[in-house]
Amino acid sequence: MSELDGKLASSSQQTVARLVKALPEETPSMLWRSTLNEALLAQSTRAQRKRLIWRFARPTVGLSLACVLAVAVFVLPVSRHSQAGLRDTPPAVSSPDSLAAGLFQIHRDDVRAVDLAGTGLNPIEATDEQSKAPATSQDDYSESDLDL
Amino acid sequence: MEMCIGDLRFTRSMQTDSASESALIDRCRKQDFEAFGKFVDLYQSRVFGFVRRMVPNSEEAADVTQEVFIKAFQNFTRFDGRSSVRTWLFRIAYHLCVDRARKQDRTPDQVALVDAEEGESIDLPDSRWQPEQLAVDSELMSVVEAAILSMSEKLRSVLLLHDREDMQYEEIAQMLEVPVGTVKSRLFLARAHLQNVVKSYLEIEVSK
Amino acid sequence: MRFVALALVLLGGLVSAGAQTGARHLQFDDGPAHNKSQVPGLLWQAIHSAHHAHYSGEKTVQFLHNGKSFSHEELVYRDGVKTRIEFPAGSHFAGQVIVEDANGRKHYFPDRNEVVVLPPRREESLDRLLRLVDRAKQGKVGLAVASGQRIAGLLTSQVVVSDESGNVTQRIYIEPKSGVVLKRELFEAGGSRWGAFEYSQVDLNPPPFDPSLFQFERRGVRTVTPKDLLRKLVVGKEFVGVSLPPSSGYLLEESRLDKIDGTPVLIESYVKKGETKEGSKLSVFEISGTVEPSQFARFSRNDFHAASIQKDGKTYVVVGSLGLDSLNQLAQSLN
Repeated sequence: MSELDGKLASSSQQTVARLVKALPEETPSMLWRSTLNEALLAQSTRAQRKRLIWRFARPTVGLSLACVLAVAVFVLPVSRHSQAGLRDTPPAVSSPDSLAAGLFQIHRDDVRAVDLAGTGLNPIEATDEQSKAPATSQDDYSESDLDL
Repeated sequence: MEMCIGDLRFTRSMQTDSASESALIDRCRKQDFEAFGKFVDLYQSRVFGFVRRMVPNSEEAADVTQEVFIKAFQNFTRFDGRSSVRTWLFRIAYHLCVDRARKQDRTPDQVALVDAEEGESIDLPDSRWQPEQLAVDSELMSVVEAAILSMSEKLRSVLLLHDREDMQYEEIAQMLEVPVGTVKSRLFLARAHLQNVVKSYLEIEVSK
Repeated sequence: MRFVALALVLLGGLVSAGAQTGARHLQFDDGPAHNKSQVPGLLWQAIHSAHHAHYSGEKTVQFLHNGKSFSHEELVYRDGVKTRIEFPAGSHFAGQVIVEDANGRKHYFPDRNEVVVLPPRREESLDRLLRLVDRAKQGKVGLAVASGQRIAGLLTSQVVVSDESGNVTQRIYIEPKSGVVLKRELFEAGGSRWGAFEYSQVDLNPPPFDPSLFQFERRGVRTVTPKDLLRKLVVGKEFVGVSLPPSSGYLLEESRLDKIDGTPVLIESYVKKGETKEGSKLSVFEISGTVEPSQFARFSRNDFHAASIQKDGKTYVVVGSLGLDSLNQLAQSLN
């Protein structure tokens, strides 16, 4: 070990190193993170747009349309027909495993969202899914007023 | 496995095993926005902490930290894995801090210390100082922060990268493009300065 | 000599301030653990403040949903059990108002000129904190205290919550005198943050609020309930929209449509009236088609279970933290 290494390993130097290590953590604010996310999203969109333009400059649009038409004409009517009409036994859900896992995940997410939202907007409300619901019309009746 | 109270950063929350970090980096290379978000989660506090101490103005530090991650996102495709992703990220941060300081023409009250080559004798602080009895409180931390700010960029960066970010000498040398010996001597000088400042602070407190 | 005396005084102050410097460790292996059953006083402070806090402020909320990041600001007024939330001008939610007290919650939507009356949510979040305390006492989660950050100009202390594997799942930054939570971060097991809120401004000593601040009365506004919204939601769709009866003790909070792996699902979220030790949230799912009940048993964990019934070509699944018998009873009561 060189002399300098020895000095760096001394107790006084190591104590100073511990002091530096103990400095409080600095975390950027939520607003900072929101702004960064927007900037990154803009970057990502620009990059994606460039890639897309390059990809679709080629004459593939016509081919894609033809495929879509084929599906619409030949495939979709078959699946709709299979769902129509009465059945004695309802069809089994395809991918029951992923469905079951998905239900549990939705419930877990809703439960843990309580920690985040508190009395404020929960993630479902904040992503506006609820507020997209159409307004009730004047003719619809309402249940009893809870009269808070 | 342990977590220590008083280690103010619970490093386990930021440790991912190497396989999952590799997978994350691969996705970031493909400009996967969601993966990069996780990458930011992993490193934002550390990068901000470093930048905040290199660029004292907090608004500027926030701006520079954003620039770091934007630059990282733009250039991730070029990250070739020769260094660790942490070293790569902090290299971006360091250079942006230096650029910002140069633009501002900021010359802090620099400590009159000269880079010492390895082997040169350096005056040591009073060897009767008993650091083992040193207790950490927020006032002392403020003194330490101020002392760090009073150092030159050269000393400050090495001190933060080694003692706070746990980077190895070789990593730091590669990042700053200086010899390992220079890194060690700058680290020694930075710590010695800090030691002097803390000792002076305690002596002033005692004499009150 | 005086230096030594000062160092000792500082050390004493360090211990009393709780700013331990590394002597205490928490272990989460199967062996004997230190401090596993201790709940930090700071967390009790936060629970206490849930009943008594009086403050106003602005907070930013951020979270990931379906892989995308969302954020918004809320203007919060809090007086014990009463809350009022508004949104800054320019926000997507500007004009919406939420008021809540111990009896209920009203959420006003200006674009529809509707107010939705809902069950209160304060109890849910308080209930979650209390369950956290219970789980800490059982050793199922770890709680540690560390220095916090300066948030909205105020110094905080931090409660770090970890799961049984030692992964940090939450960081709760609490202003120690008032117990107000000024920031909360929530993490996935892998360490990435999925959600957080943080106050950018807060006044912990505002003047007394006018009681009318926590009421919402406006002429000409339609009052709707979650059941009205559920009824509207299923019109023209393949769903029936059955619900739990009031006698179940659960109140409908919200309903929505979603797709899981291509399968359309109607989701109803319920909350238990009053206190409960078993977790206050319940989800009821309606699916077109049949799903074998045994499928759900595979995904049950210690925390959540599921019971299901099939009726008229639909499968109804009830998921919650109750026991299977209770969930089965609830599933049978759907109408």
